[in-house]
Amino acid sequence: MRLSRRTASFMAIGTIAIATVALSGCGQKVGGGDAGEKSGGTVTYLTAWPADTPQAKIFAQAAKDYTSKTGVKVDIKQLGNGGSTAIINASNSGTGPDMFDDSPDNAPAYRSAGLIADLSDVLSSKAEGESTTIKEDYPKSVIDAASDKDGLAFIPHTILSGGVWYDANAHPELVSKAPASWDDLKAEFAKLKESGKVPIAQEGGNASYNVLWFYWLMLRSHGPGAILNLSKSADAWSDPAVLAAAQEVASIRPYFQSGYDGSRYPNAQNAWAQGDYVFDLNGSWLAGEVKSVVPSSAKLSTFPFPTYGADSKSVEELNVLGWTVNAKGKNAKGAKEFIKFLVQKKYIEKIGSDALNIPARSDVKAPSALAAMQKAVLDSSATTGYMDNAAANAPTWYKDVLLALDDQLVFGKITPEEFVAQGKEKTAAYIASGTR
Amino acid sequence: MTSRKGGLRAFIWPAVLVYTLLFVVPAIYGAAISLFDWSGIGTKATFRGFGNYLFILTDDAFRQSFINTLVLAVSGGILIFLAAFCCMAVLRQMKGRGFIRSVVYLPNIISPIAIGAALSFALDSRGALNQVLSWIGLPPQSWLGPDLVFRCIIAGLAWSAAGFYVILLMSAVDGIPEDLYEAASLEGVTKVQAFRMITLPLSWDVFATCAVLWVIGSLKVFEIVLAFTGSANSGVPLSARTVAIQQYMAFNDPSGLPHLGVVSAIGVLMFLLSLVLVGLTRRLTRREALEL
Repeated sequence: MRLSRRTASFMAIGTIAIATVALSGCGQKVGGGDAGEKSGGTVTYLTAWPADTPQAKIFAQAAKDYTSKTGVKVDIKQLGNGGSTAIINASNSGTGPDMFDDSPDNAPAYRSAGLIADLSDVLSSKAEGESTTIKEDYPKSVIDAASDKDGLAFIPHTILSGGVWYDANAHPELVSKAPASWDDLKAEFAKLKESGKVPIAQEGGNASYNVLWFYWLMLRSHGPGAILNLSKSADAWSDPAVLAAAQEVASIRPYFQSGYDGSRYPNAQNAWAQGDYVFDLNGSWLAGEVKSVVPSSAKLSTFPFPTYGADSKSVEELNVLGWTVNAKGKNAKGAKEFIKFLVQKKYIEKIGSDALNIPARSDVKAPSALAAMQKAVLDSSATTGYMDNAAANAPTWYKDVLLALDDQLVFGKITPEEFVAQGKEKTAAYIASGTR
Repeated sequence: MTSRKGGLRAFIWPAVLVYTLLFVVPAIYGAAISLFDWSGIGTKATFRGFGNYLFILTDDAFRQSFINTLVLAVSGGILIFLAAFCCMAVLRQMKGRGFIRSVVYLPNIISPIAIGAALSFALDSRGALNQVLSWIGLPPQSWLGPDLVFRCIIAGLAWSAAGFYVILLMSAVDGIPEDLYEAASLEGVTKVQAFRMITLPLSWDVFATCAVLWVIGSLKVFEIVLAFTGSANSGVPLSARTVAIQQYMAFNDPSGLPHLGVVSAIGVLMFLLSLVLVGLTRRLTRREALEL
């Protein structure tokens, strides 16, 4: 093909032009307001909740009500799978949202990127149309759980905790007399197994559920920090309580459903919801997750993890989900006003009634399934964060040491003594490597 | 003459520019990040020298994922090329081989995520496979348990990827003149001998290329493992992790702060490993060119 020089150069320029236009479509655009936005005009809210979840619907309804009341447009965008990294990158390149939602686990990431605005003025204001300040609407423990050393990080809407789930209609005797101690619970397991039932639904494929037995036994042994301390020093593993907890975990293996090690999430919990198994040690979100498979004859209920040992510590896990205002957003003031509207009792109530989670406000009751858990969490003398803050503060240790070893213990691949010995060895290696 | 060559040479500049900007520069940047401990835009980067590499090489989790990846490369490769050779021998002359070729290729079109998810639900302890086994009286197994999950992943991956290599090798076989086989059958050569003495040598170059493609691809296996075992908030069990998964877990950290230095260091190591393995593969499959 003979090309004249003109045709050749046109082709070259054309190719570069097309390539440039095509490539300019790349790059992250996350939320973001338009340039030159007047304060109070639009609030961009980047939510992690997919549109079909109850939470997303509650917030979207609140946004509609807010717009019809004040005329301020609330632009709710889905975060998708980007996670905190997407928000941080977008904010640093100037296209971040005015507000977003997350949990305090990710607060260190946002703080180090300077993305959490000072929320003390929101705390001392009143929610829309209410007479008490927002700070007074929440229990102190919830505010503390949502704060870090730099102050309040998130305005909470949901409390997340954990406990033992069961069907109150199938086992009414547990409603009035829930097993109060670990030995009572183990006796209950044995009784159920003898009568031909499968006592425990265990999701073997989900390591963060497998670890819950060891986790709660350690919390009851040593209170808050029991798990976190195991990541800070290898000698903490020599504590006899660690071996004892591991032995207890090994002792309940006969009560798991057969084939539990090959169970993929969410099959075990769905089967439990349909009555195949009796107990499920899980998080407060379980009822919401199994909503579509629970038969109408079932009444899911919870009781807190029982006491363990002579000196059982009163501690519950208290994690929160909430909203925060982007310090680098264009309309932080507008975002704060919208949050004051969002925290009204009528919307937080729906976290309980529609989303089947524990609402964060003290004047809002949780659904009946979670009533016992809410009471235990708020009455507890001590609370700790998600996974005793180990996932947030020692993430590599949590994933590669604790979860990996615990899985082997739960599957019966290693003995409790090996669990302790390897835990000590791997924790020492982790600390020596200097990784977070 | 020179001016036309120079004019034509100018055409490669856009490609060189794009390649440099979008591939070479980010690769160098990534290698530079591997010397730091950094968590993304807006956070401080601390220099660690080769600390990230030391961490990776002494980390048990990475070692496990590395071994898993090598096992996947070798056993997956054996499964795939065994299937491909069978197809080459059997399908060469079969009626309806075009249709069978399409059927064999079909799994390769499906997204590995869809395959991983579908297989994992079928292999669940209460899933379809165990149901079928119970009908024929065999005991159910924990296919997704720590012992068997990785083998299931390799099987699923081999099933998904085999079609691609079968297509490539079959097209090489199609290029072999039929009269060679006719002459061989006149001499009384069996089918197996014909495969060994005619088909294999004459398609060896394509096989060598396929081997290199497989080696490079197997080091990057990611989506099928994630779809098989990943669940809401627990990551992937140690026995099923590949190097790409380990890299992803360093990136998708529970604390929200990715370990970009470790992520980049794993990337650099895998790049060097693939160079070594590709070089080895080419050496093992090297041979003088056959004149036909």
